[in-house]
Amino acid sequence: MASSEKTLVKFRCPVCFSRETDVVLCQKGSEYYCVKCSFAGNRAHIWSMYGDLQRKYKWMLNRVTMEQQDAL
Amino acid sequence: MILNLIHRPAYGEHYRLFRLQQDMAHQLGLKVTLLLDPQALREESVLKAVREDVEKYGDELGIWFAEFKGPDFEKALAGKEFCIWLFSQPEKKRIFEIVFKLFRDVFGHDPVSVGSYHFDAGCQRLIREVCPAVKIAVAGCFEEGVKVFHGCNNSWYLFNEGMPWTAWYPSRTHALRAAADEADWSGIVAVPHLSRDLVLSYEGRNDFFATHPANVQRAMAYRAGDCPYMFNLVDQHRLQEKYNDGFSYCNVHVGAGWLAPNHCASDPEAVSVGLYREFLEYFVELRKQGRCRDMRMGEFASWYRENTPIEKPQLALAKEMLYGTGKHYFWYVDGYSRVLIDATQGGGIGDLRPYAGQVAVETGPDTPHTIYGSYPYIIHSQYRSGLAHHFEDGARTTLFVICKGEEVDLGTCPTKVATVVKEGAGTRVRLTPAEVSFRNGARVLIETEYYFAGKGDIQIVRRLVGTSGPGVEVRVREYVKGCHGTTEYPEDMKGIRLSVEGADPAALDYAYKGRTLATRAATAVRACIPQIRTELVLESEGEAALQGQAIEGYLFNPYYTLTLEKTLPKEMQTWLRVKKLS
Repeated sequence: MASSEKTLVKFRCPVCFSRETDVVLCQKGSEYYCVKCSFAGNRAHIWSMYGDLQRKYKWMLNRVTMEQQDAL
Repeated sequence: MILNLIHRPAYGEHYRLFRLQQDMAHQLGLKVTLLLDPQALREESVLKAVREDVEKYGDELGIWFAEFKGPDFEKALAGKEFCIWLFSQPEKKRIFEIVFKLFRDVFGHDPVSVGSYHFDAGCQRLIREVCPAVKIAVAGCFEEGVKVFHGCNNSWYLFNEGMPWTAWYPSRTHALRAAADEADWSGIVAVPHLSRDLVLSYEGRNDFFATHPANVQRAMAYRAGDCPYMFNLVDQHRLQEKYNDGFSYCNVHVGAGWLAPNHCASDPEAVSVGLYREFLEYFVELRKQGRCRDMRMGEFASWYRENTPIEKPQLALAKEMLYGTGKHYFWYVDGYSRVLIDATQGGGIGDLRPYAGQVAVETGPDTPHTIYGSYPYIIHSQYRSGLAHHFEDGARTTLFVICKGEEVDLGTCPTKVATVVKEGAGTRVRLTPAEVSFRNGARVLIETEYYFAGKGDIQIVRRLVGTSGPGVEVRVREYVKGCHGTTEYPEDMKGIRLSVEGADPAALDYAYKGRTLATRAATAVRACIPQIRTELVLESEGEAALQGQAIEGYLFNPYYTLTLEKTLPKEMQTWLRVKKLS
């Protein structure tokens, strides 16, 4: 799918993202909050949760060539 | 691998990013197809630039059907719809008339290539009527539907599930169904919008896992400028050459806006642009090695037509390579069925689209289907429960293995695809043996083989290839639990007719009463599903089964179940047949 050109994305809610839902966080001062769930946090908190979410991708930084995939 | 690199001319603030994409492609010597939307067809600065691209680099020009703004459209269209597949039939026709004329007026010729996220069967018929020169269309998004709808806060109305993952010949009556034969073909070669991960786009959002670097950014499956997954995904598709006589297809089709800062991921422009360049460079490297041929869309349409018979099945063996499991999914598609074998669930069928039923679907407000363009499933083990995790199980196939009264579900015994062999027009897929353990200490190894004979006929072979000792005897029950639908919610099943054939033949009309029909010496068990014009038959090969059952569901368990039970001395064969309901 395409993404709306109208919305300038800054941060997506890490809790909603863990459910594969894109929700752009609203900002109030240095804090961000989600209108779809009860998440609120600052940038450091958000980045930390993004890092946690990426842990599921164990091979995220692994090159798996066609030959290696063939052997899997 | 054959690559189509597609760019869409942008205007306004994204114009410079479009030019950046074009400069990259031209510097790398890649062939480009430019699909211009109606607004781009009216922007003089864009037209001047693309004319130069055509002259200097040979870029092909086509149309991207979106952005229907301007006086012509205001007169022709009511309302605020903007997706071509969701307009009424008369509006679709008017749009095609306006835009093809605009293209002709600007360039002096007809386009060969067009695109949209989806063209339903009505659109394809109208395209051929209004502009017969069109040979190829970007026409659907593989497995885009419910999951993307949810992922976009229930606001993205593109339901394209149940379609081929690679280039296909769309049928006249359902654009996402592969045509059964020449007479059934719409006349246009279709390609998917992007090549999607054949594992993760089934399990999750297809717009996270596609040959589109910014989609991978959207999935957060990268770190800064380091994104090996996007190359792995290309290689997942390249691997399909092994199963398709050397053919694999990929398209890269990234709107310029995706390179803008903070477009979807929280990245500066340099990261998005850098990833896009690296992605294109990978194809150039493959081309240098003789492993990739870039073509413009029109060129590919001719190549495909010359090299791929309509009746030829397409196969894919996909192996998961982001979460790090290496799990296997095997996909099969022809004009009669699309089948997914989920090796991790004992090699059961996880998704089954009964193309043989030739369900006719067009989308738009003047159709009964409105937004739902997907080809209906009989089995969708993700949306419709599959292996039991909460209440009862749902749509799936499996084998129950029975030893001294204990039953083990083969769906709990992981396997992998061992071999894929073509036998004439058929395809034989053998899985690694599943190890089945019983509480009494007995163990058996059961090998499963599927033979796709074509025309909707699938032979399931079960072999006892090992036991923990002499005297271990098992009975087995082939099990098909089905339903129908296009979303995760159940449809009305009243009108389905279940029957058993054998010593005690019987039939019932589905009424959510949870009844069971059973016969001794069963030869076949059957579900006739008029809602999708489909008949599903489980048929014993050779000796009749000891028992056959057809089980009606109830509202809290809205499925039908077909079973055949046999002893398994060495090997048994069963046919699963998907037919058009007469």
